[in-house]
Amino acid sequence: MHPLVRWFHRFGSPPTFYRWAGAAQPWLFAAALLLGAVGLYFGLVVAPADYLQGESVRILYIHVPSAWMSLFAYLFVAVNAFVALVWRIRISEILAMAAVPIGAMFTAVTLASGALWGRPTWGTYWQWDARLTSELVLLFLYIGILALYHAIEDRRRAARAAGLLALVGVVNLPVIHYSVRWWSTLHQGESVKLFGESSMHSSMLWPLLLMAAATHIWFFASLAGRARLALLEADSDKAWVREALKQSLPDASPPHGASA
Amino acid sequence: MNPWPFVVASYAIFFLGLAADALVPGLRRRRLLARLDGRWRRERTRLSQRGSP
Repeated sequence: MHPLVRWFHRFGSPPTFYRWAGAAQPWLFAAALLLGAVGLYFGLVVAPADYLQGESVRILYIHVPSAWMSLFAYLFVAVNAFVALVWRIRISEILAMAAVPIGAMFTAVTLASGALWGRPTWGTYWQWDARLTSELVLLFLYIGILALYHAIEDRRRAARAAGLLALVGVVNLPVIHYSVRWWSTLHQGESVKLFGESSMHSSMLWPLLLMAAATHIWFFASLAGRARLALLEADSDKAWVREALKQSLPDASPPHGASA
Repeated sequence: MNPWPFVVASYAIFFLGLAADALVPGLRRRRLLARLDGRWRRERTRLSQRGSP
């Protein structure tokens, strides 16, 4: 077996993952809140107003990180769905499906905050522009994956079917990313580049990057909680669940002579 | 146009989204634990009754 696959199997064993994720979750939430607080302080108090957009530029400190998260979460779902379909690794199924509601939330926040930014800046809440429309399609994809996952009773078959849909939807990611280059859109082109110089002043760039880091850490914190819950639900009749819940539920330990 | 109502509304939506994302799994977990607690309590009672003469 490939070492990576072996590591996945070992790390992905439900009791190990449950314990590990439970220990990491509070630290991740704390780091996300701390970074977010610093980012918001710099974004709302220290950073200047934009010479063209005025004070509405402050919406971008949540809109842009949320938009990045909507794409990142989808990519995460797709990669885990692929791993689950090819190697049948159960924890990947769980992680893929646990990430869907978080991605959907960030996509909804992106669309809502974008509309609220568009009204004072463009004079309209909505335009059937390539970037906006493809982001809306992303929200529909998230909703479709969730609906399909909950429509099938067998959890593993449901995750495989929803994972397939997620993989088909990957085609939308480059469309969202390159829409501002491929078509003449009302939405502006990218100001922050992963490679190359960003066109944003550092006083605005740093709060944005801090907020981006905070939302990414938040994603993993929330994912840890959701994946742990999904494992408990799926394995509620297994011995490791009783063992893991012994602290909080005294009746979890079986009476002497009874099998767990 | 005064941009502040739009800024406030955006941040309100953002924090509502985060709050819902953090709270909903917590509530579902509590409901699941209550269900498991009930199931295991009933099972324990049944097993202890079977064991008594």
